Amino acid sequence: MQEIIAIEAIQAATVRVFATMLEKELLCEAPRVEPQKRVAAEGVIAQISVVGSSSITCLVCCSAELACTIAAILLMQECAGVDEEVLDAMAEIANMILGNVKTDLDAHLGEVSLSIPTVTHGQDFMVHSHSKQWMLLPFQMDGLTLVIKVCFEPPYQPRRPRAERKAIASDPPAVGMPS
Amino acid sequence: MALRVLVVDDSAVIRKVVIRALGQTGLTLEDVQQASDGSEALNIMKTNEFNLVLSDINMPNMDGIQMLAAMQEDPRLKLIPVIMITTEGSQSKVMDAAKLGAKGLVRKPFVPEQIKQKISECLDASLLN
Repeated sequence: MQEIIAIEAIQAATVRVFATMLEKELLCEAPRVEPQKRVAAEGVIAQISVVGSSSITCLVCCSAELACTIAAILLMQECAGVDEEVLDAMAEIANMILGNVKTDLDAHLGEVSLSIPTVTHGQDFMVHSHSKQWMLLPFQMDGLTLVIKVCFEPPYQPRRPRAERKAIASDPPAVGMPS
Repeated sequence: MALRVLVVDDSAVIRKVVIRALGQTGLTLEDVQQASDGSEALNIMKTNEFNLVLSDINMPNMDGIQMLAAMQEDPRLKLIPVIMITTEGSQSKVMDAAKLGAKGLVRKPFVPEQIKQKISECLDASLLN
């Protein structure tokens, strides 16, 4: 699948989720590449992936202030600090975004499953990926920034059992093939 | 007639949002209960009467599809209309849910009007007046 199709689908789904569930208009900014495996992080990060014949990991990242604002609008109640409801709200936002992407790209992604979202809240930590780079998709909401960090990874290939690997390694090369 | 509704979702936030949306539909609600997965929902349904279930699909322990299958095995529960409210809109899941008797599907994100519309489509007029 072309990554550009996925990027556009993630942007569209994010704008749709915020417009429908929060009645908030998100402004999309230009995507940029973070050409390293590790990215610095702080605030609230909701991580969710689709895995299978394609694999996409998304980190929905924002400040504690924006996370509380999102939860307050979603729940129609005051959210003074990052608590369980704020983390749950961010998990659901991430779930809706990537769930919509999965549905929109059903034909492109093939057989994939949506992971259960995981939310981290903290300061000054690093997120490490097996991929060589992250794609950063920034959005603005009421002057606050939300960034979705996207990582495209090759499909998971389970390792063969040790005995099987040994047998393959000791097989004589096929006749007529270069050794 | 007032509605007795069971809302099933593993997210407490989404249960709150769905219950609030139900309140905004203008329908008369007699009782609204909550469950965090299919298994808990089945237990609640065994001891309570509902005329509508609104359920997520992807949940731990017992998901919405497994809950529908279990409801089909029970002569009383199989008569309760179920509307799926889910991010999981892939064709295969939608077809699985429909085969197991789901009366409708609302995709998240949603607005209250979509829930009201789907309820109107799948409940008897007598229950809505």
